[in-house]
Amino acid sequence: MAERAAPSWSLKSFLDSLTLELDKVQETLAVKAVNRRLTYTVKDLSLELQLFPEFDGEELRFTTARPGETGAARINFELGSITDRQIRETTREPITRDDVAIELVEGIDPRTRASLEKIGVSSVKDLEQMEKHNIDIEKVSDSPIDYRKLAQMIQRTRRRRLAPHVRSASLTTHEGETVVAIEGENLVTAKPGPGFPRAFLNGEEVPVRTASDTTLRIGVDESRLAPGANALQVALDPYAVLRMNLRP
Amino acid sequence: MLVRRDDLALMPLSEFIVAMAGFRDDTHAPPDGIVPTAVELDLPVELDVERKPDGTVHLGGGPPTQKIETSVMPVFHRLAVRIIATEAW
Repeated sequence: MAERAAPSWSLKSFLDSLTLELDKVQETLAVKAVNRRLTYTVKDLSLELQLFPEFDGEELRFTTARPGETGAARINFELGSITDRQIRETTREPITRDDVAIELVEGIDPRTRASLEKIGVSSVKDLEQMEKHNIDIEKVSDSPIDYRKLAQMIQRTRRRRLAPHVRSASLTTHEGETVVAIEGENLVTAKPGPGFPRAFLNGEEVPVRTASDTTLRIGVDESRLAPGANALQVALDPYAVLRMNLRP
Repeated sequence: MLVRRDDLALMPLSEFIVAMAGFRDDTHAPPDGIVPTAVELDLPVELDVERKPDGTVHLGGGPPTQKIETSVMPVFHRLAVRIIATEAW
């Protein structure tokens, strides 16, 4: 008899593991099929387990019955093979590169995350979809969600994933004006927010002439440049600020 | 052998199921005559459901390691599998 560890497990992690084991079965059988004309595949599987459920108020978890324990619940799982078409029709699309999984949103508290997951929101796109349908998330979830704060956390996480990268900065002339030209990537996002980007040279606001994903041109008055280091700060949006020292 | 005697842990469930599906494993030649096209197995099993530190679950399984009732019998779960024949080429 094998020794069993006691920690409880969630239904989701159990089913993930069971599905993974079945995938391995099908892969092994598919390899066998390379050299055999007739082979066998697992069509359906059912597993009846003797378990003890636990509920901590938030999540239902289980432990498997151990030798000598009586009164366990019997839970039956049935897994059948489905076609590619059924998978496409019934499975949600994986989270894309431009999306953010709710579990990866920085600063989100576990209760808010659990509340969102309970109502089927697992990514920022899901959240936007709810908003598009005018669904009041605060009302449908079972715990109060500060939507504004959540939106800020999402934007901050998104920005961190698309962090600005400066390749070069130089003092140059553009259309007769002296400008600080900054080249790079992810400098200004599609929706930086009203009033952004903003630039400050030695603490004084200076005009941003051109702003794009790859280029920033900031107008400067050469006569106001100090002989030593000049502090340039550019607030690209509420979540990204560039700081650099310029020497004329 | 479906039980690792070195650490007494049950084999990964996938290996156990593959072993069940390998009942006619010598079919190198094209099939002719009567061959089994479907097999349904319904059997008691011992299961290891072990939660790893990262929250994922490891599933081990195998046939009962004990048949004779002693002071404490293992817990028997039940596994039913339908295995069907497919022509690969």
